[in-house]
Amino acid sequence: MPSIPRAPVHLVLVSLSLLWTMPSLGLLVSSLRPPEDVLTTGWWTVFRHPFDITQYSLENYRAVLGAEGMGQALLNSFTIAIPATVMPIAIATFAAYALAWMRFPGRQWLFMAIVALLVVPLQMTFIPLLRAYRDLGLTSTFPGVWLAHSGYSLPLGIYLLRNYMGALPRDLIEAAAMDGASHLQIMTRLVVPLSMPAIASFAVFQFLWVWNDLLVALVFLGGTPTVAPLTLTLTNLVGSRGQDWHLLTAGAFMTMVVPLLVFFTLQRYFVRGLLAGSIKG
Amino acid sequence: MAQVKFESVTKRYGDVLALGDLTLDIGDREFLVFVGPSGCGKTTTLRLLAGLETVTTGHLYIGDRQVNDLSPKDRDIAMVFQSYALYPHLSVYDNMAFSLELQGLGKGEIQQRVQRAAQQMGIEALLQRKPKQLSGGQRQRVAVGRAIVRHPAVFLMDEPLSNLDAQLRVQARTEISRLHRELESTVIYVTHDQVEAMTLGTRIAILNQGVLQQIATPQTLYSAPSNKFVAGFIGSPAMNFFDGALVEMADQLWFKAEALTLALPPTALAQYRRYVGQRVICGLRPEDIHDPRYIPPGTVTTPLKGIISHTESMGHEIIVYPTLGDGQTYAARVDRRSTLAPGDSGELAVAIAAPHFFDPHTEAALTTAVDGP
Repeated sequence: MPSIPRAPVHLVLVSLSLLWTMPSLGLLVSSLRPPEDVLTTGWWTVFRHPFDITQYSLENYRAVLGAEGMGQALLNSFTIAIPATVMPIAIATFAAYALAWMRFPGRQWLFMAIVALLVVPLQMTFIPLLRAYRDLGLTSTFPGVWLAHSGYSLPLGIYLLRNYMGALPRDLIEAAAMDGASHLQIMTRLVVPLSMPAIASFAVFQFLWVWNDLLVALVFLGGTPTVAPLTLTLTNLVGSRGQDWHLLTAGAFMTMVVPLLVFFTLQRYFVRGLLAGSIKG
Repeated sequence: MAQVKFESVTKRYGDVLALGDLTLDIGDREFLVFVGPSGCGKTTTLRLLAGLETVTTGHLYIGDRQVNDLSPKDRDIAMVFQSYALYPHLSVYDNMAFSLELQGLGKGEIQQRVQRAAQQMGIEALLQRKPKQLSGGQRQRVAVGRAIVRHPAVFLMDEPLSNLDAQLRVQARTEISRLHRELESTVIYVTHDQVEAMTLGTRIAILNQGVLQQIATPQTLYSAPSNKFVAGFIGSPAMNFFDGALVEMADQLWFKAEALTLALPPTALAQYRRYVGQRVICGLRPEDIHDPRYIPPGTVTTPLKGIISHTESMGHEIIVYPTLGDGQTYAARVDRRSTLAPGDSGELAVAIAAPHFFDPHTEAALTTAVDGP
């Protein structure tokens, strides 16, 4: 490879990163400014005296969390996202183990059928699912949306985990079987600990996907405010308080902060997840 | 307590025959080695016994129980894998304790048994390490330690030394031999390395293409191979084979081939009289061909002419490759003082008492009138 001088490369990378960070930074700063300031001057004016504490306030957040119902929505988002992450992981882990390491007739066909489900657009499933939900009384309930998210993510989850587990050395599984472990013990004591990188990256993906999801929540939860997640409430906020930037920015930043935290704490799994299957770790 | 018995055991993968009609009795405390070229069915045999593969037809017994349908954990066996298959996320201690925990033993007993096994293997200092922090030799010890901690009736070992370097391998071989004496249990060992087989086995079973060729003590395999395959497989360099015929001249039996005319000892005529006039294959071990100047005392020889094609000096001996009258190159193991050099049209000496004879069609060893029907 021809060697590229380092300094220009770094310069370009740093400026690109700054450019990309700009909108989020603006959002954060605006959300912390009093409404009058937001409406009269641009957010960058705070940098005239960046350490002047008096120009910031948490009032917007108080308003959004309380009166605008984002507090309830934050809770709802967690209530939706955590089970909707745990459930598919649990199911996909069992399924992936069975598909990778248990011998039963039709195993390959079953796996192919599951992989084939990856191409089904989720929009196709709304009408039949909604009908079923209506009959089962699952519309506008948390279990309904948990099941929907689980179902949508299972093909990818099973596919990723099965491939990862299938790449574990056969000798290990056989050694455990000879040591007296049942399938369940092989799975819980050997395969799951060894598949942690894949399980963690799938968990990060799934959590972020569910957290950021608007479509599925809108379809299966409808407009019911008691169960609406952040994304729904924020959209409604845009409708009802479209001019109040101080509230919108505070609401938007609250929605963002959880994915940001997840991303920063679990970054290495995120990157590894992107590479899942392409290289052996 | 732990004899192992194969009764007409056959294993097929679809149309491929992996193991054909194996009948074999392995005695208690025996060290049986399965050896053969790759793809000969030796590993399949071990996996059948381990319960990792299912028998297609036939019966398999461990002790007095038929184990065809028992799962691996119910067979009272332990296996050492070629790759060692140590659990990478567990410490050495937990690797060894794994099977004991699954058996539901108490903490105290587990600790005691792991300590004892670690002591036997000399790995006490490594118990808290993870497998990736160990060298190859240490991993191998842990793998054996994990097997012995269970006190199984039968040990299965699948080429456990093949990932070690040459020096460690010799050391580990001695150790396995010592363990076998100490543990007093049955060991079934698979290898493709005939040196391992000869040095470790109380008996050796040679397999080729899924068929048992011969099972015997190392000495018998060497001195009385039952067919041409076994004769060629045991010994390095391999036995030399000559196509020729047995003829009788002047009350003496001769073997005549294009490259070799060999007068056989007087007793041979009585032994092989019924093959006189027939085509046979004669096998001569390289160690029975000598440099005429350094013939061991008391050896009766017949001369052999050839051109030395190349030589390999091993220090304690020299391997000489002469090209004989039929244009083929053979191997001879001669005394280290020999000065035979490539290009010499040298004369070699064949010990006449040593030949093995095989049927050219069946490749089975010819039966002598003394021991045959």
